[in-house]
Amino acid sequence: MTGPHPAGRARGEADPDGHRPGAPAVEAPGRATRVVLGNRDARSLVTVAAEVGRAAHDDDGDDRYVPAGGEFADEAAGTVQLSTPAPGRLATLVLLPDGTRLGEAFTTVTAPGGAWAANVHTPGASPAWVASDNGSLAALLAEHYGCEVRELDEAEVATTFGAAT
Amino acid sequence: MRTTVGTDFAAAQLAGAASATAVAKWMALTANATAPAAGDTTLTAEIATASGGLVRAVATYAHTGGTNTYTLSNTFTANANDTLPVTVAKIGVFTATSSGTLVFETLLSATATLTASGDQVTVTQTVTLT
Repeated sequence: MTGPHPAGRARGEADPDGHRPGAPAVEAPGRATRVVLGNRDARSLVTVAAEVGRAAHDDDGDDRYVPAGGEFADEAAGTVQLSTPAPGRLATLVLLPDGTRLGEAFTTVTAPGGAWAANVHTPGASPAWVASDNGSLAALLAEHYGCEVRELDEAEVATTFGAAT
Repeated sequence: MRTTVGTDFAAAQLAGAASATAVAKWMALTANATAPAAGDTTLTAEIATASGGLVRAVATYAHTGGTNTYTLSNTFTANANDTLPVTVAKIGVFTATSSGTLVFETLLSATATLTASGDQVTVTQTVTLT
């Protein structure tokens, strides 16, 4: 398995289309490859007014202690972000450009600040499951994250993310 | 920032106007570091070297259901056709592989200098829907 590699010198020059030599594309030309990653915690961050260092209350009335200087506290604005249960299943959709190579696709999703990290609610969390219309990519991601592979549910994708997939 | 024509584009897409067919997914680079302006319609000095690795490219889209943000990202790799060194300072998101509507224009949080063929820069544009 090819692990994520940081930006810097490439191992091989890209061809005029930006493809790396010797690596297969994840999907036939003409369509984007879809990856859906299930959020493990299914929680979302909401911003509420609060006095940092005191207890804050979420919508459920639960007390949540907000430490001063905490990761989600904006002391200047007098707000904190509370992690609360999110309704329904939270999932992250990634659309990889047509012709993306398998290694590039893997890196695009898994790199620090990549598609998963930049869109996941809980910093540092890994997905609970992964689904893709490319089985090899799904298997790689599942191995990387230590999660299960699910079948891509077309209806669910359409319902959750609209028809632009 | 979203440009004025980018706002018009978004409205047309949401309303299902006759022009609502394009997708704002092409990311372009420039060394120009002038602050973006709402009235911009082109990316000044866009890198468009023929067969270069830093030319406009389709970005990866990612979005978590129920949130008001999404990301567009792409890794650009300089090749032998590019004029190097180049310091990338700003990006634009367009609706087509050439020309098209400049929907977003953003200065990079940190410039990136590519000096040799094979150098890479990964750019992530986070879009907040408000």
